[in-house]
Amino acid sequence: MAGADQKMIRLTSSEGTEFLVERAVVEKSVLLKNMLEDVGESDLGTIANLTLLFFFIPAIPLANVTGPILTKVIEYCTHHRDDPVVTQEDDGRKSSADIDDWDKEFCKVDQGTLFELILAANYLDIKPLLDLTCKTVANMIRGKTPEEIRKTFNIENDFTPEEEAQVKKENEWCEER
Amino acid sequence: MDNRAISLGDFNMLTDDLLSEFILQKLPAEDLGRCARVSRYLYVFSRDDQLWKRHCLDKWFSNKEVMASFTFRGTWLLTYLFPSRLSDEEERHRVLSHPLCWPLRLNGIQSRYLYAKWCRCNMFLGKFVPPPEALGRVAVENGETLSKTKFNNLYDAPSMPCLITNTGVEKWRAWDEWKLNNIVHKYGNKIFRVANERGGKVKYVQMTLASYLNYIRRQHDETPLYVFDSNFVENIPEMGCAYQVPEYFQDDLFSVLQSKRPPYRWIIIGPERSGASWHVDPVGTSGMSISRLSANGYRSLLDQTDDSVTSLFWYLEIYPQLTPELRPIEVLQEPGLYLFLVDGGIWHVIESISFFSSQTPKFVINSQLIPLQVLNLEDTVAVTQNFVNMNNLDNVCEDLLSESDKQNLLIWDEFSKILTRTYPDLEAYIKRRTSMFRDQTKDPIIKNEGFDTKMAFIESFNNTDIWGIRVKEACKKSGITVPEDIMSIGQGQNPVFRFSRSIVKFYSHIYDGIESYKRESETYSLIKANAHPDLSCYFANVLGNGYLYEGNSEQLYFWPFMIFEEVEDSVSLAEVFKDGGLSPRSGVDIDGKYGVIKWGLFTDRIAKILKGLHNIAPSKNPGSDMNVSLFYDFINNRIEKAHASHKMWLSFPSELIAQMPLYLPKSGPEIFDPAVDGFYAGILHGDLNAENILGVVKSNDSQCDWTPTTVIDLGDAHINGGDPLFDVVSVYISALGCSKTLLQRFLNAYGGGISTRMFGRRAMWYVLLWEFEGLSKYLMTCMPQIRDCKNWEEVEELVWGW
Repeated sequence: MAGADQKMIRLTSSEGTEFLVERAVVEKSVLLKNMLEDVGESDLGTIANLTLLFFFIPAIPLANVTGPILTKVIEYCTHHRDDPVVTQEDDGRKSSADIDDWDKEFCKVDQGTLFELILAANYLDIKPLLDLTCKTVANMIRGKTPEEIRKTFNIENDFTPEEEAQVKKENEWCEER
Repeated sequence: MDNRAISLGDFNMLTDDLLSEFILQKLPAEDLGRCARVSRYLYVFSRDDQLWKRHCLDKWFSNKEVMASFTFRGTWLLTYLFPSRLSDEEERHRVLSHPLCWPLRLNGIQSRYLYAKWCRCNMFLGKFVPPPEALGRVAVENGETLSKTKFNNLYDAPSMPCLITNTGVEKWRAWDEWKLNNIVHKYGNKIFRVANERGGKVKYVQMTLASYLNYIRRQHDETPLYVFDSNFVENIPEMGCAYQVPEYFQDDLFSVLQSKRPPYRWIIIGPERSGASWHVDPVGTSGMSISRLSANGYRSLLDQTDDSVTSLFWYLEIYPQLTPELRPIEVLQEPGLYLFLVDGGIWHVIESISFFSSQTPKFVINSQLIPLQVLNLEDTVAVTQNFVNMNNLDNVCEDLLSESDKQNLLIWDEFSKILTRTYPDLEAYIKRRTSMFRDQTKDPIIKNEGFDTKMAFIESFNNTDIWGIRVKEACKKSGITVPEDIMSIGQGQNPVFRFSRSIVKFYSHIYDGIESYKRESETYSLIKANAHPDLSCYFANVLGNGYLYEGNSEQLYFWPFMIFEEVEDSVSLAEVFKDGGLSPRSGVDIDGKYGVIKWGLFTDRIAKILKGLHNIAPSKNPGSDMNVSLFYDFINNRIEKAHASHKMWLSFPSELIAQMPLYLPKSGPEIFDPAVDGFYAGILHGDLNAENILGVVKSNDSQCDWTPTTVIDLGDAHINGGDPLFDVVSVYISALGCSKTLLQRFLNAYGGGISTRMFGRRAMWYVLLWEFEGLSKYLMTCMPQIRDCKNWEEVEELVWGW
């Protein structure tokens, strides 16, 4: 539970569920951080009393994010609230293997949820979450045969037989292992 | 279901850019290759050659053996498989017959993302010039008539960029020899350093010029690799004689380092579309980064200088959305022109320059620090050179010293040693810099605060982690609600913070804090007690004051503080200048027709405020000689120290500084004698400059005006009074931009009382006796012609005569 002096922000998911989140957690989202800065102090107030809060603070509606996904996003941001901001260009591939245990556990969700999380992270502009979820998807592709990839991601083979033969020839270098 | 949905399955819900830049980009080469076999859409996405560029660079570019005969094969994927030249036999059998030489062509795939990317990679830029209205913000000078003095006064000293035409570069050997085909012909087997702007681990690679030419003739990259080599003269000495450094830029203090100097000249060779995206040039060797400039707090600037996008993407997608004020300065550098670029300094809001350039060869003189992006419109060969002279020495020192980069510090040690030996005039200046930044402090208070150097201590004034607790403590002591959002707004001298419409200022012992605090609190109570409401409304309300650690024996310094009420949304005159407000220097805008300041009314208002302040009687012994003698004590002390101070600051040319002792008055009565000069001011502000005048911007449909509301910083006030002319000096130089029209108007509005006896002489004396270096630095920026004066009498006439 947050300390009484910690400022809280209300977020509303697409189906209208309200979430009360500490500002420091919300600010992991660059979209919301900029929004809060633009709105300024006075409109959001410094009201510490939680019962009053609901009357005074307007909620930020997030029409693109459902309640269950928002719950996951908040869980992620809360766990990583104190992480330093990474500014450097992330070279995704070299570190795809090393995802820490908490993050790995966090990404053990069904595939639909994982893709929804990518979209939410992209929309809310939470770069580390976007990287984590995309890395997880990339890891699901790694080492798989084309057929296994199709199966995993519900893809149909839409090549004509001639096209398929040509791609197979082009690809000999990466398949004879 | 549409084709995309069938072909991409679960990936169909992702946008093209997410699929490409966040998922496929994270795959190792073999996996990316295999994705092509999954489905038609994935084939197209995973064959995106810009993804393969990265794989190819990462795999081969640190492999010297391969790079010795590096051969670009038209696509990066093919180059990934065959990076170097093979025997003729192998070339025929393995490369030319490879299926990837005639890859699959698929119809019916739709992607706006890939299409836009393809356009950027294949665009013809020959006609991609800035719109005419965007040009013309940079002055163009004719090299045949531009003298070195004029260049210095108009551009170098005030930090203004310019383009110089008719430079005579046609006479250089480089003019012909360095045309792209010729330079390759001549130096084809020589190795150059090639830069990889984005993506991948390898930022630089060594390649022969012939390999590089083969690459640029066959590539379709969005940001092609380009030659960016600072050792070209060391490697090929004759290249150093093929061009000349123009006389404007020949004074280069770094040249004392000779072979030990950090990289300073680069040869740049690149095809169309190449160029650097938003970046800041290094001063010493490395370490300057964009973040420092963005920290000024303009988000627009930050967005604008986003280095995560390519130059061309920025021009096509971001530039059209910018309002004219947010656009960077744009320059089209045609062959043979010099472009002089400078420190942002007074330009803050537009501290970015993009220059387009074309053909061979060019000369870019670049003093540093402006975010800069370059887009070559044609094949380009250029030289860029950085230099250090008296106009930018301050910045260079700061950059070498302030970042705790070992390499830079070593350069500083060497540089300062040789520089002092070569130019003895610089000794005091160098010593002060070194002691501020480099030397272990002996100051017990700084040590007790936990810092090794004075600079580290001063830098901590901006750290709210350290100071947040103290701000809260000060509020508690004054019975003010303990604030949450605390922001540092100090300019370095003292820790100053803002929170919920209040300002708290702590007085550091380095700047005589206790005395300064006493002066400031006493002056405020005098004003509030004695001044007419018409005057006192221009001074902030004091919400609290005292000593933070009074009676705490563990503290060596008690940290006096004052808390003021803040005028909502106020900005200082200095900030208005920075935000693009017209300074009077660019032609006095009396009625505010062109800018946000009605200079006439502003001048009247400041004159009235000062007159009001001067009219308050001194706190003790009004009218007695006691007060005059205290003013004399101050003046005599400054007469004694002024010469040494100026030797340290070096704002004025050293020939003039040498003449100071003869020029300065011998004692106080020479500069001010109440019996002769009449009016004795009761309270002097002591440092009324552009930073200490706050105001608010009011706008309606047709007009946007900044009007002064508050005068701050009474820490240098003279509560025993003195010569009213003393205050006029800083107002004229810092706030009125040395405009004589405004000075006249000021004196009229002030309404008499300021003695005209030897006006210019006395005013100039006060300038030289000023306690802080800011005033003389500012004067030099306003009037760089001072450099041409032979003695102080000439300076005096220039600055004050009319």
